[in-house]
Amino acid sequence: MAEYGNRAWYYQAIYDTLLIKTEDGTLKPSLATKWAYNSTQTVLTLTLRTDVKFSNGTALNAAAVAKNLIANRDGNGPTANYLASVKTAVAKGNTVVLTLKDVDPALTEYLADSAGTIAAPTTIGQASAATDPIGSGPYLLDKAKTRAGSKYVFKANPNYWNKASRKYDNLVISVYEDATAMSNALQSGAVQGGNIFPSFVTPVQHAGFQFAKGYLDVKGIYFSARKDPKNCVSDVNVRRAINTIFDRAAMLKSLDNGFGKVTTQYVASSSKGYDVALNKKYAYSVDDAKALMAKSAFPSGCTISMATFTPVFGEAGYSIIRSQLGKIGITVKEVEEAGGTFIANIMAPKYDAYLMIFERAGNPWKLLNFMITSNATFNNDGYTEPTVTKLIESYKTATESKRPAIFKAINTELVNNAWFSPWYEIQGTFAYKGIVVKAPQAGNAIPYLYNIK
Amino acid sequence: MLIFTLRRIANGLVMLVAVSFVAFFLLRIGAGNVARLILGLQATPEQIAELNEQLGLNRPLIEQFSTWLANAARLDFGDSWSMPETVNEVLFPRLGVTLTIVTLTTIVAVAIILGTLAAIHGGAIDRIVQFIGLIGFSVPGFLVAFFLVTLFAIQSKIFNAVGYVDFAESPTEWAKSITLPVAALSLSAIASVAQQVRGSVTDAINMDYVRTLRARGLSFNRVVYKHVLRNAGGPALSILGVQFVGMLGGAILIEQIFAIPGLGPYAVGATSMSDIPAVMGLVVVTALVVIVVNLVIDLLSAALNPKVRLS
Repeated sequence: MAEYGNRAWYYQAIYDTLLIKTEDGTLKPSLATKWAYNSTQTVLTLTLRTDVKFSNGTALNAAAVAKNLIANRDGNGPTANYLASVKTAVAKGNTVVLTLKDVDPALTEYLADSAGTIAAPTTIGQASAATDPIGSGPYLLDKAKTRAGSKYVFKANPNYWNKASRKYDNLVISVYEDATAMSNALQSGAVQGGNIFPSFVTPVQHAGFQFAKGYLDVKGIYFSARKDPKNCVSDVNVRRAINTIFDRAAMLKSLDNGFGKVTTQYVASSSKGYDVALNKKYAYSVDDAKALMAKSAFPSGCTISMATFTPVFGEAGYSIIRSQLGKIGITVKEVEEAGGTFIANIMAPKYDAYLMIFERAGNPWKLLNFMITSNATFNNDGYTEPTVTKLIESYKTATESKRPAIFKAINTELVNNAWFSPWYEIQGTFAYKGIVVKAPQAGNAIPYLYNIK
Repeated sequence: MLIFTLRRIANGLVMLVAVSFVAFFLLRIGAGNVARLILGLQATPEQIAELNEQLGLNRPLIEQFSTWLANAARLDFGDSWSMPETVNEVLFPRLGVTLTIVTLTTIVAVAIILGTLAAIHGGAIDRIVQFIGLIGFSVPGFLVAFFLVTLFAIQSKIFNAVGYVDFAESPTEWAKSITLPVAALSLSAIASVAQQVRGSVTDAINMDYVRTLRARGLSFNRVVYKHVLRNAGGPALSILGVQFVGMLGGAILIEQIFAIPGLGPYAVGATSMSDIPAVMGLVVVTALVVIVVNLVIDLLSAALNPKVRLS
């Protein structure tokens, strides 16, 4: 199973997931009508619907679900990580009991995404499943009308168990690699919804479209050498100085035409961990930045290595970084990376810092494991601090009601100790006409198919 | 002619292997961590190692190339690394779309030039053709495309702004989907070929045999189409061949803008995903098209003008 994200529609057309998510990420029943943890949160019991059939006519049952979950866990793809905590999945009547190796606060959310996607058991492990998928979802792939990589045509599944939720009989997903083509497709009426660059908002609006605006991505400088005391980004005052030397509002305007929200936080503004007051920290001031450098172990300045990738991030951002860091005595040693090596080399980590646009997961635990925990995907240098480690541990075992406060405390630590230097959240814009999108999907670039009415 | 043709085919095959060899090694060296790209950011080192093994990426490069070449010789380009379909399943339908656009563009360009041939050595039509040539040379194709889409698809909705409809599905919709891309590509093709033809025709018209033929009472149009064209056609065909090949490249941009499922978007997507089997398939079929087009141009030149000797 491939990653979800922008590809969610393809999967959601064909397959059902065990749970579904509202626009704000609240979990709702789908194939699983109920879900409950034991007191130690190490056993999750899912109660399944009994009236669901796959499009090949076979019944969906607990054994099929257990087989899917184990296959998703053991597969060679991103989904495997989401189910890494699952030790066993056992079918019992119309329930599936998942026994976990460890507490995983994001597991139920994963079951509403790719990890919880349920295919007909006979197709598991079959190469044909990719082009001839069999699920229990609202649509069937119309292979005759589909053109791989360009246009995917779906027709209504006549035996779908949840017909009331399906708002359209036909679904066509068109692939546009080019932003102008997407804008033209919307304006000409070829499609009814799609993500556009903010610069296309005006012409698309003139064509009668409405917009769901979200802030999934955050742009800023990220550090990869915080553990090595010889390196100046290991010094919290240097990192604070770097945070203070950038005029975020001016940069948002000049680099991204003002389409975004200034922030000092990696955590998304839609998250319960976000604290608007933290944005007052690191107000732009050359003098304050210089004072912070003077307080650091590198008062006379230092050199940091930085990976650059101008085809994506442009030259202007790097020029500003060079110029602003130069004002506080930091020399940037830039190395231009190629598309195929950029990610691998920043993760290695080969550089002290890099400019990046990261998307933020809607689920805090997923976010923590992407960026914050010592073995997180993009915690390239494995950096941590005792307070943060302790808070993460307490988040893991806390009850659901206590987790938002702990997450906020973690976020506060990250900002106060300048773990990163975020600049601004970038506006994501989903244009729609003739369909209804109530709100952007938390943690995803496109609204989920079942939330489009 | 048969020996010439066979020799050109043999040369073409050698060139094809050489191009494939260079492309394969350049791609493999520059591809970076392919398994990471395919599996995503959260893949573990174990998963990456497993996929490398599965794709054969841990074998020596020369061994990988030999395997690929043996399969490619049977026109089997293997499994795509970025799509569930095989390379052949995606590549050949897309090749058909791109060749349709480029061939139609060539036909349109040739038709317009032939239609105005008799008049392109002076007068109003000459000035119009020259003006089109000037526009074709000076305005980038994407701007022409943008202008055409805005005017004829977004505002007047006469043609489709994006997408492609198969001829078999609906001839009318096919025409609506292909008109603007062909028009956008045609402009530069007309510009290049018209200038070349105009120069050749003007030179040929001033030759003694034209005056003699006219003195014998042959009409001007007959002289131009029956005699002048044979002499002027050679250079025009050469430029047409170059233009056809160039349009394969130009189609990449035009197909992106019009979201046409041709080789262009496939090339961009496959390259960004380091989908080496797909890119190699693209390299081979593109090289094949170039070889075939050059051969056809040579044969046409000989047919058009017997003075041209195939050697």
